[in-house]
Amino acid sequence: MQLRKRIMNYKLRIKKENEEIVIPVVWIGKEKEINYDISLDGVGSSLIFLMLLLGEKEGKVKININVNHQAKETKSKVIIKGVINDSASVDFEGLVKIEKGSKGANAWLSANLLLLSKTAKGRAMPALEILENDIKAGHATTVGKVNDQELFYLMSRGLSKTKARDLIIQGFLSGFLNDFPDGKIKTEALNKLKYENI
Amino acid sequence: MKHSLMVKKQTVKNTTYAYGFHKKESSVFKTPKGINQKIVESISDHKNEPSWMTKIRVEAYQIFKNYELPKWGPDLSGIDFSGIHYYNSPSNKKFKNWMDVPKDIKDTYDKIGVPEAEKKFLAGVGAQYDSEVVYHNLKNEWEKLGVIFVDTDTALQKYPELFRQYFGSLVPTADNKFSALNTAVWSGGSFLYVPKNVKVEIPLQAYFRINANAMGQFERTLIIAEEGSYVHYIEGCSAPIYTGDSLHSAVVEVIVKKGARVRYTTVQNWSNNVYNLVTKRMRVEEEGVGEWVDGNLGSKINMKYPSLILAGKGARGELLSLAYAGRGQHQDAGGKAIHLAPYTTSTITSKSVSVGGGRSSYRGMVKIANGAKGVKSFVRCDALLLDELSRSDTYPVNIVEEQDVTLGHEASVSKIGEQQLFYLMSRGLSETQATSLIVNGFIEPIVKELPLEYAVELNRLINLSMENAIA
Amino acid sequence: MKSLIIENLYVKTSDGKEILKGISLVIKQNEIHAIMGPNGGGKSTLAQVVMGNPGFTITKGKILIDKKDITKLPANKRALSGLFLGFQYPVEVPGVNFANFLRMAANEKKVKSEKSSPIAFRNLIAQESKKLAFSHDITKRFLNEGFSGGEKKKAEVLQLALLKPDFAILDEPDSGLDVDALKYISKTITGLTFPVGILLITHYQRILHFIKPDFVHILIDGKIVKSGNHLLAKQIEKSGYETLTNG
Repeated sequence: MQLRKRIMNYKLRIKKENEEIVIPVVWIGKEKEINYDISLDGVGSSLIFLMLLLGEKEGKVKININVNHQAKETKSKVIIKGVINDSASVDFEGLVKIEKGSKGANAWLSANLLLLSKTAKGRAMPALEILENDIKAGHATTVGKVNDQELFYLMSRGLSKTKARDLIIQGFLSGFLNDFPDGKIKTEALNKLKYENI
Repeated sequence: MKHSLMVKKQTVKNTTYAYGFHKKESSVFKTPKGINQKIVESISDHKNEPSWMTKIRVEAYQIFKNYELPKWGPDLSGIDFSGIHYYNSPSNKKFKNWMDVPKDIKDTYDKIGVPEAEKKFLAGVGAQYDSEVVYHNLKNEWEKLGVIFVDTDTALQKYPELFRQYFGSLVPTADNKFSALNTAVWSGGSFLYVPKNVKVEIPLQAYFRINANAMGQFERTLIIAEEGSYVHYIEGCSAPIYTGDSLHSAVVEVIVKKGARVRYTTVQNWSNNVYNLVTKRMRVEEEGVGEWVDGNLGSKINMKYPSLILAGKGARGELLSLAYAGRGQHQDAGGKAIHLAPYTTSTITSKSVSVGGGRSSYRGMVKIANGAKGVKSFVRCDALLLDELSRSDTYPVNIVEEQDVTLGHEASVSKIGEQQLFYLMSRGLSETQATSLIVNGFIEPIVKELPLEYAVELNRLINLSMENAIA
Repeated sequence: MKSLIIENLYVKTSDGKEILKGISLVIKQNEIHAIMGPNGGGKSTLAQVVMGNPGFTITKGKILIDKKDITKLPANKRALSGLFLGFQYPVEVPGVNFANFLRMAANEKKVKSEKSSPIAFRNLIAQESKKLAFSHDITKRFLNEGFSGGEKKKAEVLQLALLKPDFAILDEPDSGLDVDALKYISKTITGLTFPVGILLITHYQRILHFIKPDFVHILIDGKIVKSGNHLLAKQIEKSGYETLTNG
């Protein structure tokens, strides 16, 4: 019984033309495995996939996201942001595939993992398979600690290192959290990270 | 190819002289089709190798035999292992009649401006091409510096201790099925040793030790750069090379010691019947710099992932990879950067073009081990898909086990921008010209790092390919 | 009257290259000093090092504000000691609201009873930013994200006006600006209502037409080769730096 809860499997075919689906996902350590398999079958259909990862203590998760463009003018935007603390680790594997004939398709994936502690770890393998040329596709991944230049800039305005770091992490998440349809998630996430609500 | 080295046109008949100080084989020798322990032993025997080398070969064969084909990547099921002659001594190589060389190959040479002397050599018509005079002058230069630059067979005979120390140190026999194969049947390749603090200003090129072995099936290259040294090694050719061999499996090991710098440039354009499966690895010690410039134009299936092992503090690595996949081709290229030490940096730039049904895949890995603080790594891979028949893939792996690092990876796939095309055509260029210009511009960051002659040929090759694709 | 003292400063980059070779300067709280010199001479390095950029190493020398040795202090402690740096390339910090961030920074220096409320501070920003003629409401935007080059520079000067430091180092505030923007920035700087010592690092001499320096120093190859008043700037404008390197 317990094992079942730890593995999340989700499969979806977006069949209706021009249908827009937003999938928000938050991981705070419960699940060990999260799998999403999404197919954009309807012409002009679009997917916005937002995944927030808050790793702490010994939390570990293996994530697998497949997005398959099977029709013209389909759009996908996969945004993954993770703040990983303590000895938590995230293993992300993704595949965005644009099948032949999906003219005008547009696919974007970004995965940004912030490692906050010396023992935090991250793995990101965002793959692309493109079989149609009249498209636009791209992805960007960053994994690492908080940016030194950003820290210096904020500290040069008098903020302590801790405050500067907190501000950067908040900034890292804020725009993203605003896109979540459920406003409660933003509050809960910021609370979890123990930040004042500005 | 280096036009400046075209001295004489006629091929030299005297094979022993022509091969420089490559150890001459006692007789012509070609192994029967297929591979087994006896065949492997006979190769070693024919080359008069020390017994420890024979032992390594035999063990490698056993490992190769038991290894399954990789479960990832391009389809290699078409390789007929039992139908290949794994060794053919240079003096025995049968060459084609110029008449038999396919017309499109000849035409290509014409169009990209390959000089007469080169054409026959590249088409496999001549035994080698004669650049003895120039070769000897250059040889004197580097010998004065204490540099050893010979083919690997000679190195084994003349410098066995050095050879044994480094052979297999970066690519162990069992690394993968094809490194095992290479270790069993290797022949030819370059051995380059640069002493401490010696900086070799002129780039050293593979065919300076010209002989038919220069384009061997199972080359083994070993480069050792001692502390503080510098060398730039170049191999290959952008003009297409016509060969009957269907399987090429080379292994390249480069050791860059403290404060040294090595740049290794390859441009391969094997004909479309070749499976080119290469294992290339460079280990960079403290404050050293390792650079791969990798041009992949030819072969039916090309699998090549030059690796940088950044083992010492402050080591830097760079990989520039270019892949061009035309009809019937699958380029599976990319590279790896493994950060083992702190304050190391790596930059990987990959540009790929797919046209006429070609498939180009980027396969890469960046791994930052625990303890490697202050590491900065950045990967950028861009792919251009020129038509609806072609395919592009990106398979990146990023593993970060250390917090105090910065890792970034960006990839993009697109077709040629309509606005760009329109702009160029509005200035009077045809669609073909405009496309060529754009494609050449797309790959420019890589091409500008190639020696001029390669760059010129490469650009012309692209233009030619565009003509064929669009016309 | 406080002083910012830079005493015999030697600085190395992280690659080990020595870029500043014995810089000494004294800037009083009511003075304007201009640093000129060819590119690569160390001007920006000086600005970054005085503010405490961890990417450089001070091998010799000291930096003092009002007799307090700040040489080894982290950047924020230097800011709290009264120092401000207008960056040559203002850093973009994604997702951090400009107004909120500035209010936080301003409040750092104040005692609890004096801290500004968000609304009060926004009004203050709106007022000051009008003088700089921003094209968009800057309070709604993220820190430097999506700002044009000119807007980034104006935003630095806006921060200066609101944070009220004792000393301000401005690293090439004029590079990338059109004449109008240059005028706004200069007016703001000369019109500051609190006592501040300014170290102005210039790219073009142009800004010195709008801001008259009390002292001009020429920095070439990591050393100050000549100091003078505003007339020295005019001389450089006419004959360039070569006369100084050869002399």
